[in-house]
Amino acid sequence: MKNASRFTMGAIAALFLAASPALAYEAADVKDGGSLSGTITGGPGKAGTIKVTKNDDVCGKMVADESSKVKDNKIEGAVVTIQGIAKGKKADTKPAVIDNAQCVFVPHVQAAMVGSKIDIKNSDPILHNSHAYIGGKITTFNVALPNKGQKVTKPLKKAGLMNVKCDAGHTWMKAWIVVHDSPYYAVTDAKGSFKIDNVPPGKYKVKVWHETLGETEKEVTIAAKGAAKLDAALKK
Amino acid sequence: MSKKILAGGSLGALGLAILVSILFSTPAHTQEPAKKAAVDQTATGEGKNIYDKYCAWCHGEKGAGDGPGATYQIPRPRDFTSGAYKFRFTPSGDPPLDEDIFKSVAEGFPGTSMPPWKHALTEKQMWAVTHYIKTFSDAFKDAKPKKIEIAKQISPSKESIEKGAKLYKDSKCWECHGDEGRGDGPSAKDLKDDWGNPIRAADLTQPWTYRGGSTHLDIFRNFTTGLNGTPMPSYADTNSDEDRWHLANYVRSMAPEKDPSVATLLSSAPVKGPIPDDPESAAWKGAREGFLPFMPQIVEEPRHFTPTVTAAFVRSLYNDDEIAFLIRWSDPTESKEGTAVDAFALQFPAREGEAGTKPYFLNGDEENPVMVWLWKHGTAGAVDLLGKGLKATGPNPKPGTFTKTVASFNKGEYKLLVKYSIKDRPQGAVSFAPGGFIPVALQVWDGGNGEEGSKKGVTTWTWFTLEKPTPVSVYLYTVLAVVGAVVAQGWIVRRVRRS
Repeated sequence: MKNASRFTMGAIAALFLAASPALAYEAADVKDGGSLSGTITGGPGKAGTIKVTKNDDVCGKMVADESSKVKDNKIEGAVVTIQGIAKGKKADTKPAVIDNAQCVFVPHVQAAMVGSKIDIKNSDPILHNSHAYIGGKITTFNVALPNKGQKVTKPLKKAGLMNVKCDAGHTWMKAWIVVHDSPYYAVTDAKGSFKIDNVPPGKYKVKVWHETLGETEKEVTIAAKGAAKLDAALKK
Repeated sequence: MSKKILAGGSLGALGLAILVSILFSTPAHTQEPAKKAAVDQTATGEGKNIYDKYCAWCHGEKGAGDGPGATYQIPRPRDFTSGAYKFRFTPSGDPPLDEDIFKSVAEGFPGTSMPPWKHALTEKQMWAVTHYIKTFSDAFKDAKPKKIEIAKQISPSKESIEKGAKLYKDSKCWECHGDEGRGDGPSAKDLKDDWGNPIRAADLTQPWTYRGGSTHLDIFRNFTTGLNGTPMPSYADTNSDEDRWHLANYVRSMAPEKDPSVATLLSSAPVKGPIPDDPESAAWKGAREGFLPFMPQIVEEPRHFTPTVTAAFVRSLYNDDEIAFLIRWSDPTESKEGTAVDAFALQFPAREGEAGTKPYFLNGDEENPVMVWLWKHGTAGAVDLLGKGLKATGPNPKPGTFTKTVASFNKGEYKLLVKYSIKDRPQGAVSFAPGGFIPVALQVWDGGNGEEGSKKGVTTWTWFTLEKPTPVSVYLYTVLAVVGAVVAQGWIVRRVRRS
């Protein structure tokens, strides 16, 4: 009897625990949405190459080092996310894509929304083994793509920073996926610039992250139909 | 000083405990996850007590896989804080079912330090510890792991195994596990687990070391789910259910259906004429093969807790002049240069002793020295050493003669043939007389794993005998008996007909 009631309480507690982190994002029409754009700067970058140690007949002798692409102090591949939006624009329903192409992951950096899916592809005629971790340590999926043209779709179940490796001896292969809790994210282009639109007016925390050049957090206010600016300089 | 001895002693004891658990762990043969017992999942008190008493030594107080015994093990004990479990009936990246954890506790993992606890704990206790282990990780908090569907099994017919062989090639299983499955593929060398610890690709020819069990279902499950926390990926999306059954059938066919049992007596068979050098010759093929597992050398410094080579298979032939040993063992890497090279040694007592006496198994001692036949890869041939202890082993002042040493390394397997001249043996050395019993022990080094000197795999003594040739009289008596029986029958028949 006593045990049973303890069990019930436990079950209720478990239900609450299960429910609490699921502040599920809700898609709705955004009234008077504003935008956030800007440029991310910092450095120094390096435009190096990495020596290929396996399958160089397919991969080539060298691959580009994409870990810090900077031109004129402007950072490409920084990820900007607006924090704490639980209700807003509709998320992209198309799955994100990561391709194993000539022994590098394409794209090297991207962002996606939690609960969406990702297509993992192999464009090379060799074994690739896409092993993704969340928080740097915990495997979220590990799939073999032994042949060219294969595609596997996996859900992005948890928000957080995902990194992808290839366990098939291609030690240089690395990719990053920022899995965000809302569709309010952007990755900077070659000019270091980004734009996020259709943001419900309000005051937000904005995070900027780059894999090697550092990260920062800023506050912005986005007015109704306004165009807010956010220029940030990253420091290592 | 005494503290040092104490530390050494407890280290040795720990090593022994690990050893014992390795030796006595039995393969897991559960077909499906065990049924859940009705244990109050929120009452983890009993689970904690059991965990702290038995599990924390390796898995750590907080479940981080960092207990005092952790550093002496490959594979390392599981870190429960991540929620990554290798053997599960859930998709890649998902936490396990409660039943999966329970099975791991109950059955243990063959070839590792994790013993089966079903002999020591009750079912209720194992469920309690299962629930307690889950509290170490957030991964279980809002997860509802779903069991994968097991597609209808395809029987391991010749046709299915052939299909599996092709799939093994096409799906690049060989990149880690090697062409013949000995874990020697081109990508196998630098494999790391999620914690950055070295991890080996399974030697598929030794199902008794398959951590997750060696039934066809166990193998099918591993292809389907991948092994979380390791480089072994899921093939669920790139190979169909049928293909994964074919693969499982092929992988299981790489090894004999029945695990070999440890030899209690090795024997040498007599041959007429010269002993062939070719391991593939009929004489060698016909010789009885003995299986001997290795233990890590953890008695003397520097100790070695994680040797690569798990076992050797030994055959022997002899004639009036020579005795020959043909030994094979799996090693994922060929190393013949530098200080740590692959090597193998056979040990015998240095002199003909009293029947039944055995020297100290680690290269003997001053009183009872041993003869060590050492073969090192990259050298001309085996050498005869005299051992009076691990640190007192050197060239034998009265060495015997090796008439032949042939070593080959092919697809993760060594074959070593050593011939020793009985005729030219030094005075006082073991005579290898037919019918007698001689103790033999083996030692092995995997250079690729940094093994050299006292860092090696060892066996204790096993009895070895040279079978006596069957005397001609045995055949003669058989013939006489047959002739006699025929004559007697004829006589009886005639008597019966007459009367």
